[in-house]
Amino acid sequence: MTTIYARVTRREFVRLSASLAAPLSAMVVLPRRTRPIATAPTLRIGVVEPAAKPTRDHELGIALGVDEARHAAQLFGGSIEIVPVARPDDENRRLSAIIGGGDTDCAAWGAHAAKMGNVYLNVGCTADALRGRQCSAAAFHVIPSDAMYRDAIAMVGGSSGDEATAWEPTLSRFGADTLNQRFRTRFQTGMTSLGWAAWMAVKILWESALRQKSGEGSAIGTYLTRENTQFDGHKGQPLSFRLWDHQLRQPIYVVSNDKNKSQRVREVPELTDGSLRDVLDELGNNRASSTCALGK
Amino acid sequence: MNPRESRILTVLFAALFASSVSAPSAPVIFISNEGSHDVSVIDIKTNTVVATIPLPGRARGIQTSPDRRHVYVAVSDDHPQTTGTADGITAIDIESRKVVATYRVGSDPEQFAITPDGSRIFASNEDGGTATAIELARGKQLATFVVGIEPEGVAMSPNGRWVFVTSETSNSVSMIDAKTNTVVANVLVDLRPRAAVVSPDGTKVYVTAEVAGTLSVIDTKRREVERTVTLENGEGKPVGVAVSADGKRLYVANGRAGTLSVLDEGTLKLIATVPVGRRPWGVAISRDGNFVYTANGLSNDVSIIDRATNKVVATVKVGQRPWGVAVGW
Repeated sequence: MTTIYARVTRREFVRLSASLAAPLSAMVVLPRRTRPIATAPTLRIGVVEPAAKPTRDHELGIALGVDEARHAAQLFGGSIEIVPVARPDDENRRLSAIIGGGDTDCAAWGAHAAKMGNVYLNVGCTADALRGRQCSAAAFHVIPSDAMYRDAIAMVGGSSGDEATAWEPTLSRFGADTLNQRFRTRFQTGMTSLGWAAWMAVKILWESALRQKSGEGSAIGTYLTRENTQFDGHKGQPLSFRLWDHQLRQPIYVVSNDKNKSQRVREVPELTDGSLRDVLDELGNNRASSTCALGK
Repeated sequence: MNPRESRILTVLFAALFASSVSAPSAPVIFISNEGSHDVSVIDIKTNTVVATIPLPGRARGIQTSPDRRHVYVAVSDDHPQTTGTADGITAIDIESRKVVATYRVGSDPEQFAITPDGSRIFASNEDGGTATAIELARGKQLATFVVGIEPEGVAMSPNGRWVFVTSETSNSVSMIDAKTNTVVANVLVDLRPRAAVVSPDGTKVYVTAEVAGTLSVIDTKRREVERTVTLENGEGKPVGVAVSADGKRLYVANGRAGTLSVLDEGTLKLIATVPVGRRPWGVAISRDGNFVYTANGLSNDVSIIDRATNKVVATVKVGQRPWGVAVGW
């Protein structure tokens, strides 16, 4: 999978803020901030500037995530700032987190985040090695791994036309329709896997900072590795990071593109009796088969 | 005030009071059907559908007016993010079973609450990140409140002072002062909060979290989560919640689990798990306190549960994708 992201410019933030405010009339009652500003989180997210052409999907996903975090900041205080980062240098120590996902540099950014004391959220690199021998304590993988995609297709006896994906713009269950609508209304295009992963990464960071009452990278990292920490990604199930390789547990969608039939999207794994986490861990490398040393 | 004026006022208040307590004779419940765009009327003496009232869009939140003369239904079109012609709260006259008014409350209204005096409605605007207050007598919008992303559940304190709005994407509950039209607090709760209900004494708000599979209790004075309990091992997808008039029992509709949890209100201890239809969301308790009703969205029916035995005593087929229940007598 090629890569990458997105610079969200100040101009774009202004435009998004204006579009949010536009529908609100003069009657709008803004909430009182209910927490002193001093304890509200300040979140500074570095977004890796790619050497290659940025993917618009990532760019839009981050923009929507930031937009929604800023809406929530009206309720709880706090702030969120996006900072384009070009290379792994000491300046990045001031960041809460880094979002990126280049095939060639994901491992390097994960290692860099560990040195800087912040966290790296991978929204594009699917290589299994990043969750295995190249794993980093500071790297968290929002996008599914190649192994998860392979398992998803195999789980129903997939055919050659099947494609596994983390998100699909026609999903409707579990509030997926409202997220897809928000995205399409804002950007006049459908939300893809990369768009979802980028949106989800910002949501994860904002919620972690809000619940920790801190935008410090170390506080966010601590929150992400708690056993009971979980997030809602509009996939119907609580999503959490596997402690042994920092891969986000999540359902995957298999799109069947049979020329003789209409497109069909099915969710895997099928939910059966038993622990939801155990069922979701049927996708990708489980603790026993993982070559990452984090959880061992 | 002279004796004549006093007599006139007495007569006027008596007339108003009589108006406010005279309930329609038919013992019925109303079911909003999101899929078939209508409301089913069930006679609970015979447990049969006696009428179907067509509506112009998706029927979701449903409530009875305090004077029991109207049932209000949140209706929205199939095009979120825009205010369509179907978006509004529709008033149905309970006696005639006809639509008598439609109120504009912003785009995509999903749930709402009515003040105890029947004068105002507070509604969530699912696609707007807002809630809207309207005055029913003039159909006038009073205020729009910024709440979390994807607001849904709306609950009101019994004294009509406080309104609570859940927001599914932001995992938050906003507390609105209905007297001053001010958002006074925002509380973080569990993942994907759907519905809320206030205890009869007004001290607690119970909030379901669909993705987390939990029920949280918010202390309304301290304005923070006091306690959270897991339902159905966290895998039930709880949505609707109701509290008995005596405040002793909580009923939670567990969506995908197809069950109704019966909890002790004080201890939150599970008393019973009642299998009902498929994907129950809406839940309501009969005015006599004898029955609980669940709207089962995937089996297109309503389960009627005897509160004394915690068993389903009847199942009634309704429209497509039943969503909510309002007790109409």
